[in-house]
Amino acid sequence: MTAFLQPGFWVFVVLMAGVYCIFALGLQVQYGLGGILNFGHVAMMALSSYTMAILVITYNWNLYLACFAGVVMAGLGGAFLGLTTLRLRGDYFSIVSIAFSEIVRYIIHNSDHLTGGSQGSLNIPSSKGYASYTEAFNKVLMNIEAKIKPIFGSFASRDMALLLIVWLTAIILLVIMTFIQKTSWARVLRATREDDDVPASLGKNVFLFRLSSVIVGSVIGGIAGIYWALEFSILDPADFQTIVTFFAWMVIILGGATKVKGVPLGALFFGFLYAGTRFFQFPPFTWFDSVQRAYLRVMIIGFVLIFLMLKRPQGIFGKREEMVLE
Amino acid sequence: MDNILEVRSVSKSFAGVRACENASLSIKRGSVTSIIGPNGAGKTSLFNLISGAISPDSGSITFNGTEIAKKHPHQIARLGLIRTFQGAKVIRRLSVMENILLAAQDNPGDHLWRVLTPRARKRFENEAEERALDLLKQVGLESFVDSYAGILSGGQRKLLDLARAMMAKPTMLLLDEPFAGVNPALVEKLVNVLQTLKKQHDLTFLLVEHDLETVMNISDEVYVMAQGTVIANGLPNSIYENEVVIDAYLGSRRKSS
Amino acid sequence: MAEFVQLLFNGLVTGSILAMAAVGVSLVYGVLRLVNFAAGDFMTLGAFIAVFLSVSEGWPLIAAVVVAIFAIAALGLGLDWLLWKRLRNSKAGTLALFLVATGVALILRQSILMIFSSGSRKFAINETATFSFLGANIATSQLIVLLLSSSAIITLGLFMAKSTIGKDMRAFSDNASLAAVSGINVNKVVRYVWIINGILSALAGIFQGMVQGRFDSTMGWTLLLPIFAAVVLGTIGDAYGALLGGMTLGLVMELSTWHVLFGGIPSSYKPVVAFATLGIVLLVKPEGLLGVKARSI
Repeated sequence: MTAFLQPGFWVFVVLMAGVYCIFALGLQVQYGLGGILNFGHVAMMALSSYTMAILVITYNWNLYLACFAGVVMAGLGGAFLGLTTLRLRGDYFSIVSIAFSEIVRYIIHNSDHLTGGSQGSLNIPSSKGYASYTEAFNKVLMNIEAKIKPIFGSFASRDMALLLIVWLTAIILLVIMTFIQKTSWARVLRATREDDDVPASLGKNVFLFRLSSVIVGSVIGGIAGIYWALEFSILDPADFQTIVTFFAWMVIILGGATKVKGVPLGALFFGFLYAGTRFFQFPPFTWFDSVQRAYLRVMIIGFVLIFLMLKRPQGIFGKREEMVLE
Repeated sequence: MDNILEVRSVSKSFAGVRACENASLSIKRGSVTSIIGPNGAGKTSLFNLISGAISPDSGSITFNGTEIAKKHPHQIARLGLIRTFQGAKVIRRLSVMENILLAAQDNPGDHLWRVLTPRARKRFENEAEERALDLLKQVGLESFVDSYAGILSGGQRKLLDLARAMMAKPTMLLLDEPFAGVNPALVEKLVNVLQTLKKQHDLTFLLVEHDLETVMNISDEVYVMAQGTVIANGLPNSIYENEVVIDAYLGSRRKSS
Repeated sequence: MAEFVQLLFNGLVTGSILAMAAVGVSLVYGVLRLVNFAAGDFMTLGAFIAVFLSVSEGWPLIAAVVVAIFAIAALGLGLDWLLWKRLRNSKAGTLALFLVATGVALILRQSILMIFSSGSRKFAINETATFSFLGANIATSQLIVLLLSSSAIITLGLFMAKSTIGKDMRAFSDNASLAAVSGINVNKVVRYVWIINGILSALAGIFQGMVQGRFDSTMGWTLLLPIFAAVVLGTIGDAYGALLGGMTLGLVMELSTWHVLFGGIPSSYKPVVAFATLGIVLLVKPEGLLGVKARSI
């Protein structure tokens, strides 16, 4: 129970919620508007974070430029995925999108000389002798931490500083997404969700619309990947398994799949459920040793996912009547 | 009068079945032309070939002088050739207004970077909405402006379909069985709307239809298809007297009158 | 030459195992429209149960295999009764099925990890016994697996083609609503699907475990990618296609490591090769090898 009393716990949970919020928003652009079932979203996180890490560690790039390049890489990944697979029928696209993210992870896992392989980013070849990309950034975070200490007291920490940056980004993105919902671009995508022939017969290139939504979603996913990398300071291919994409799906469903506003709420709920349970030191968690507890936490996600789809597919914050889950 | 649409000897097979065999049409600008024929004659296939849903194995299709046989449906639509669908497809989850707005051509809001220029988008949308409302009034659907298109009846959907097609500023309309399953009063209304629109906007129409009476009343020219090919064409009256057509299509109906 | 024969044989063995698993996945999709993400875990569980009973508990191998088959079939039936039936009745959409199937896969995998822990296992068979064929050293266990899996596939093929329930399954796969109204016993078809899937998954897992030598709880998951590639390659829902897809990919994956081909692709990249093959085929034939282009007229 003492976990709940520590500010560090809450800061971590809310920080992770912010990262998941951005990540899920990238998915929501694709599903909420165009009904695109992309299950390879985690690949964008992997692409952005590893690109950034490699550019900083091996090629001594400026961190901020590397972050930008990472996000661009994620967008390119989305473009590649879309160009090659969006013309396939729906269920094939979904399956192949999973394969895409697994193959990205595979390549990361097996390319020791580039990505450090299974040992993670600590193993990336570096001219400096050690492999870290967060040196400069940590200093920035500490500056922020010092500035916010008078406001946040015991809550002020490195994590808190990053939390503010992450949630600021999240809010900006959420606002932009809300504006995008009102454009005719969004309207065309909503039409394609139901029927391809009608928009095409009115002059809309349906493929390009879908591709653009996948690219935008992938760029946003890439931004989440950068923040992930900055929070944890090291990368591991095991962090980018397919299950992470399903976390994003859970977040958007919790929030009521087509509602942009629901994403941060879903992310907070999910963040608590997943990141939070890591610190639970009370029964029934204490019945298991720490290794088994990790399995148990994932099992809980599985159960919640099933429960959600069976009993409350509109999520916590959606309305049954407005549900468009098909 | 020149020909706005020229279909020259198009053929198309699906898994060994010849849907169209050397079918040819010449549509005069500003005319109303109908294609009739028994089921399975290849009418819908021909329509789909013209609108770009499928591409021909051989032959050519030119619209306003441009070769469109290999083009995609959205490219053909942007040239001014707009089609409607059997059963009047509407996007059920969008409102009636949103359905029509889909048809507005060259909408700046279609490009994502335009989220940064809300004023330009708003200006376009306002103008488009005005035009859409006019069209809705013409077809009598203005009271449904903000309702979900899914609640419209079959007849109302046909009117929406038509209004939406008009919104795209077409030069030529392909109407796929516009009078199918429609009660006589609505048929009359549809015919009136079509004739008004034709005069106002100098349109060309090509229809596929089974309602022979209406076809004969409104058409300048009739093409008859059977087994994938055009077996006759000409003025409506001449079709009625044509032996080949009677054999293939009109059958014993003719003999009774 | 010897290497080629070796790889060809490996390809046949891998291919037949993939084919068995892929047919299970394809049947489940064809009849139930369900993408069974737990397919790999079904295999892993089957292998773990069999190895636990035969090695730790000393049961005869045949008995252990039979129990494993029963267990996986029961698991499939149990999950159907608990979850899939409910989703079928509420006419759940693609997304719901996908996510619930993922939830199930997650729970299964974690359960396997929790119960059997993360160590590796090995069947009590002599995998070092080899025989010589055209210069290659072929493991006897591989040959036995190949013979058994071929028999299983042929038996299944005959069953699907000749039996009434087999015909019903194929009818249901083609057009579910039509089959239902023409008097086919839907519940019976569903039961048989899970039973057959249970047999195929358990055997595929056990055979893979035997061929691999040592295996751990990630065995099924590692194969999931090639299995799904095989299913999609052969056109999803088509059992014969899955067979073709499985054999093709098995051969392609193994032969891709042949040193004659630019030094051979590293074997850790085999799943990537499988999916690259699928990608190339889909570029030319987006519906899969056996699919008919579903274009609206």
